[in-house]
Amino acid sequence: MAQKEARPAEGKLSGQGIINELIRNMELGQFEMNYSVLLPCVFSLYLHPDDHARLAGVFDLIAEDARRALRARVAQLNSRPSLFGMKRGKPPKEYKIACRDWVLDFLPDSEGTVPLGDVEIHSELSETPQPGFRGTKTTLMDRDPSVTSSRSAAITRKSSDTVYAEIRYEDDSGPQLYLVSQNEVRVGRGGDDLAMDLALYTNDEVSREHLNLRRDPATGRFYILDKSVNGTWLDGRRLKKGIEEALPDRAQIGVAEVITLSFEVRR
Amino acid sequence: MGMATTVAWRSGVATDPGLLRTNNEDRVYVDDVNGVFLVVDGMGGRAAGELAAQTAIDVIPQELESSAGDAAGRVRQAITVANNRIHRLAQDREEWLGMACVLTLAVVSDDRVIVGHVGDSRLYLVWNGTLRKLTADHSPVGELEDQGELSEAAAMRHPRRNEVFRDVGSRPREASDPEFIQIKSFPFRPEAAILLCTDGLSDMLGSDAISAVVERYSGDPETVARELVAAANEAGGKDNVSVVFVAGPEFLGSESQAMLEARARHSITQVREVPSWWRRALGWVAGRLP
Repeated sequence: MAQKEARPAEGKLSGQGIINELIRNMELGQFEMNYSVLLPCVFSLYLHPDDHARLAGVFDLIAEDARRALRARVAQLNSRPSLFGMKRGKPPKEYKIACRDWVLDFLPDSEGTVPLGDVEIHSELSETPQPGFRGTKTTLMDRDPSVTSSRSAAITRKSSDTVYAEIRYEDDSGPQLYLVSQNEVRVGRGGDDLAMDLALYTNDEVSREHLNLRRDPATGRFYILDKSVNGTWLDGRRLKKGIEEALPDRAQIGVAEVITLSFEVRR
Repeated sequence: MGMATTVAWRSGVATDPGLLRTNNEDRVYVDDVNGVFLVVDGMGGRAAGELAAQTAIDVIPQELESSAGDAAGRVRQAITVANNRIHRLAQDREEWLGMACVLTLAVVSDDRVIVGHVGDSRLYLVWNGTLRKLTADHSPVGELEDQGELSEAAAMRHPRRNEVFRDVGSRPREASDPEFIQIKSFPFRPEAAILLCTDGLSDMLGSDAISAVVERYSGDPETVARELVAAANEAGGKDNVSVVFVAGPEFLGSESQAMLEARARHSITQVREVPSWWRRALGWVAGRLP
């Protein structure tokens, strides 16, 4: 880079800064045993909410870079002959981690303890939390509750993949938010031997498998396919059954005139 | 209360201190006749957490019975009375100060389920082979998970998952406080089931694992409740764990024996024994081998 000043501007969090802090945290968290030294491999990184929002799109890239840096650091630690160990003819202790790979979670700091441009890192030696770690449940007394009673419960995302789109709707179980993190979403009532990705709790005007959403991984574009008896509407226009159509980034999808899905691509 | 005319549902209960704790601060309450189902997770020192949870169990069913009005109003009222009773009790002894609990209450009335919920215990609805979480966790980790910021797996190992924004008992409350009780109401279809649990279950088992046990239901709700607690303990059992499982009269797990048999019979008509060309070719080759 042409820039002379290597230090980032005051208060601005850089990727290099995060990774340096991770390495420092990993070294501080060493757990030495007889023949090996365990290093922490599960990191929770708390960022100021503004930093978190600013970097939200590149967390995967930062994590990828960080994993490389951590791996390199471990390799370096392992290649350095421990002076005293060598003299006595003992092999140096092996540095290693207790998981397959490093786990990095970027979280917005909800308690206002992390200033802008800073990162607070909590690390653990393994993916299984330590026994008793769970501790006693505590109430955050001084924090204003940020949840309103009308907030909907989201359908839990199972993997840590990126969320491509969100779908808001209200069925007989109340308002719901479905987060699309896969390339195929089957929508319908479902059945005992027909599990839907987005399962609507509703009457049988909605088909067991009513419609499909498909994401083209190459372009990121979504497509919609009606498979129902009572029809699917896209922004007010009824779709032809069995013919796939492109889905706009924002769309109102009518399901048999019973439920409306508000679809929106997340960027 | 005069709400349930015939008891159509079947319920099963299990609660266990888990593998790492000696005392159980969880409490459960089930009244099939009146359709009242409740799980409570106590917070506070050893005895205080248990006292807070027990107070909720003592107060809520009684209040539900004695108060008038619609089901949602009675649910609100009952939880509020429990809150204020716990708070008042806590003033009596220094070691009880700050004691509280989180809870999820379901009342079945006229084929609807009315849920009153505070904290990070949960209510799931099971229908057509899908498990859905209907309560929002009132916790920093739960909020992130509900917004899609955290995956379920990340939430389950999050260092701050023992913090909640709301509880029952740590301060006086009014029933109308919008930041206190989450009320939810939905139809209880005969082929649906509901599951109430404390976080000792949902912190140890992901929704897939919970679903797998529930879908084996073959008519005995106690078995489902017991198997869920056993699975949580097998996964580490780091906390007290409690489960109330309520199956509608026509609920049958999609992986139950009866369902598997029905499907096996059904699928025979669909299987066409037409071997593909390469399979035939392989057979031809195999037949010619020495």
